[in-house]
Amino acid sequence: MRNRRKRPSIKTQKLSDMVANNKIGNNSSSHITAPSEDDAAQEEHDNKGTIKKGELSPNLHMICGQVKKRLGDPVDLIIREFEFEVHPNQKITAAIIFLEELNDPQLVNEFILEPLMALKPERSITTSPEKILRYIKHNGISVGKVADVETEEELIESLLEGLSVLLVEGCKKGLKLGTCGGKARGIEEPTTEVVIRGPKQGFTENLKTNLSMVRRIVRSPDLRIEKLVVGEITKTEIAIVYLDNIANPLLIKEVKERINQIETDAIIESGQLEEFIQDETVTVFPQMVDTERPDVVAGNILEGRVGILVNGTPFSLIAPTQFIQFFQSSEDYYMRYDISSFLRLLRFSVFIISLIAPSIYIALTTFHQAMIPTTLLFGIAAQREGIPFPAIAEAMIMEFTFEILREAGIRMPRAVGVTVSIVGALVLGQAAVQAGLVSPVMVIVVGITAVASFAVPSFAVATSARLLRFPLMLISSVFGFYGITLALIVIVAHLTSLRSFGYPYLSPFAPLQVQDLKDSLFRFPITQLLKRPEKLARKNQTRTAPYKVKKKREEETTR
Amino acid sequence: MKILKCFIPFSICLVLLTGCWDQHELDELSIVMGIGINKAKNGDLLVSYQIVNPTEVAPGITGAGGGKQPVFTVYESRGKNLMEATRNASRQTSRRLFFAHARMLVLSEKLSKDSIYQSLDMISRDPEVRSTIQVLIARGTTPSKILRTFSAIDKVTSDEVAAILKITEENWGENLQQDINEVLQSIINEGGEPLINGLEIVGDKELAVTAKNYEVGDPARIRLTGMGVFKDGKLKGWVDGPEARGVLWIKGKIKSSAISIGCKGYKGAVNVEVVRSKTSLSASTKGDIPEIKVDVFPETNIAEVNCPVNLEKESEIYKLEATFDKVIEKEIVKAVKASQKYNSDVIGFGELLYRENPNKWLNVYKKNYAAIYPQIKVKVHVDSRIRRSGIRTSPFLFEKKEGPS
Repeated sequence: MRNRRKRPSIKTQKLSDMVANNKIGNNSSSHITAPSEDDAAQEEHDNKGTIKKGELSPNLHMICGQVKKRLGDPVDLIIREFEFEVHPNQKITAAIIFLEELNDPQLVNEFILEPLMALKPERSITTSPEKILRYIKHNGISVGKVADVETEEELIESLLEGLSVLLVEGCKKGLKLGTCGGKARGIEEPTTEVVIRGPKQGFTENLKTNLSMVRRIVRSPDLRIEKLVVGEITKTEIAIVYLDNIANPLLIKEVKERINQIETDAIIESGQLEEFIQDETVTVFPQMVDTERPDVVAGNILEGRVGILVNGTPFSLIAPTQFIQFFQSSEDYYMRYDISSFLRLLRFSVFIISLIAPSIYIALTTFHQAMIPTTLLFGIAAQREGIPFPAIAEAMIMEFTFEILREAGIRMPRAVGVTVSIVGALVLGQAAVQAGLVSPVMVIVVGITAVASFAVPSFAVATSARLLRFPLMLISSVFGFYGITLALIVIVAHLTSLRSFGYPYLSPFAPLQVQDLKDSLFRFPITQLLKRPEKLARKNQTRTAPYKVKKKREEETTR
Repeated sequence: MKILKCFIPFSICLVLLTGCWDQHELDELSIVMGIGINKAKNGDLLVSYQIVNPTEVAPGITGAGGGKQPVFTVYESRGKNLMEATRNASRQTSRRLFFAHARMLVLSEKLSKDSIYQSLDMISRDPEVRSTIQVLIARGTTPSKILRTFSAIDKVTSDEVAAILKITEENWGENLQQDINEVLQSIINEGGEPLINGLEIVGDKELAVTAKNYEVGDPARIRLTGMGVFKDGKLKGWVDGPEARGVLWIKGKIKSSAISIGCKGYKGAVNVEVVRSKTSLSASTKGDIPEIKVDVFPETNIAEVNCPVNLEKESEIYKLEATFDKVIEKEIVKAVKASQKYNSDVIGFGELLYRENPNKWLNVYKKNYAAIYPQIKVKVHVDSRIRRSGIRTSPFLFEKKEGPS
């Protein structure tokens, strides 16, 4: 209890410090400031060549010409001029501009052109173009999302965003109309995070669809979706999603600040964003969870985390992230707690196996032969007999071969894939043994390592084990178990030093948060998980009220 | 840049420090399974090493041919002490001798009669040799012959001997596993002396050392035989059979055994299987000659009955228990007498006295323990229980005699 009372003050201080530090860090960091000069020059150059900033010209043809010129008269630019009557006997020329495949032509036809052209003239309206624009905005167009456009810059932007723009001759304003459309991939089952039990929908490339999926799960007025735009050229929309009544405002401020500080030409995938905003660059460990599943995002924002969705990719990010999250799957909460706990322990041990199995083999056979049971030693020694390479070379060859096969398997066209796997099986299997290149035990070790690395639910963290495996093998070949132990200590120390958006990476283990341990390596029954993570959701700790229902027994229910 | 600066010295270390200390590939090692020590005429140690050929021993290895090479080979070398001999052996071996898996250390009778002290230090000092290595004495033969004997079931003799020791200790109780640690401990203990198992070769001794040994139906075998009694590191004699078991009874090391007792005048008609046993020792140190009380509490089952006895009657069971108690008492008394005859405290009475009364031990007994030990009075009390009689009660002999009731 004493600790809990102490912590709040320390933490808020920390986070604000962190915010301040980050500012300084960003200013001094060469990565962001160095190219800024170039960017400035680029901007200047852009400004010279583009349309002058300012209001739209009332001349319809001039605007259309400028738009055409700015966009380089592309084939998909459609400028449809038409006339309609507002006042009897007074025809008004107007134009609707849109990029063909970004809009739904049916919407444009049915809800803009059709009602406008069928507009019944009324006497009462004055002929001022501004008033006419207002009139048709209110009476003529049956589209939900309508807003004014006042500058040419804005006009171009809305065109590229996928809106259509209505311009009226003689008017200094235009209307941008939400007629977004075009083709996108439908909602499918996520390919990277398959679950047996649980929702089967995954994010798509469309940000709006993705946001809608999150909103459908979390129907709370406190759900906040804030849009940020990053990328000088791509203007990528990034949405941060959080629950206002749970998430720490300082955390949200920090996330926004980190994203806003990015000055780059393009963000195409959330991975690029992740590299910008992660705390530590020189590490093999991922500092943000990436997920394709809306239920994962929902679950995390309910714990006080922030979801970062990027337009154009189904992978969204979650910040801050703890190391233990990579061993948890959303399914853990949908299945019974006992099997979930077992699976979590399994995944963790599997990670360790994929990390150190080859180095253990090397250390055992070259340093600690005394530790192998005698009969097994005979077996291994007999297999090693006649192998021309030392154990480290043998292991390196096999692991490297496996990495080659793995990479080939991913990139190969599907038709060739089968060939690769057959040849691969030969190279990694019996043939290599019979050729006397490697010993059969090594094949088993490589096999178990490979399978283990695929059993880790997060691909990102499996990758870090995959990378660390090689230095560990080298160290174990030089220092044996002593070396492995030292290396593991270094790895753990490094993990402890990592932060994700200021939150300790190894929590709830270091620093120890007893309450949060319930949902870490084990998952306690849902009735026991009463509190949200201690540090993340201080504002609103209670997740579940104690469930005290006297459950009736058979005699009572079948009476 | 900083990372690079840190990395350079590390990578240099990686290149330069490779192969330091005990890095050895498995195919550069000769796995020693057994060590034999004998004494040459000039006082040098004659050491034999039983080396395994893993290709022949390993299960399910394809290729290789199998059977073309012997399962193991024995190198012999000599030196003033064990280490010298070991390094001297490298003149014959193509690989480094690797001792971590050695299962037994066989000492020759000649060496044992001289003194075993010389051969024990290196074995216990070397970090590679495990402390679980069993110490044995070649009785009536030489260590090198024992190591050369081909065995029939287990492929390597040393492995087989270690297994035999374990099995017989658990089933028969006349031999006790004595690893190097226990031997040294009993030497260090107050007044204590070691007790070391004997090994002999039975059968055709000429055939024993050829690979044909395991092809014939009646091969020469290695057998445990009694335990050697030492005094001041010198082998004085042997305790065999029931005497040896008596020692184990006192030490409380009997795990299981089968003991025949008489019944209704038939000699050895009933066999009693010991299931577990507890021994408690107490000493009275009042007089100049200490008295020791041995209480043994065996729990037993009836394993075999070849006489007409009605086991349904409680009184018959009590009778059997009483007979059994007497047999055990006799064994224990014999064991004590044997050890007193050799004046060698292999049982560990000295340690017991020291624990009971440290002052008196240090001031009175220790000085002339050699004179006191043969006079120590030992009171034996056995209180056994027969728990079960297998899956039938009375023997069929009884039922035949009595007829259906």
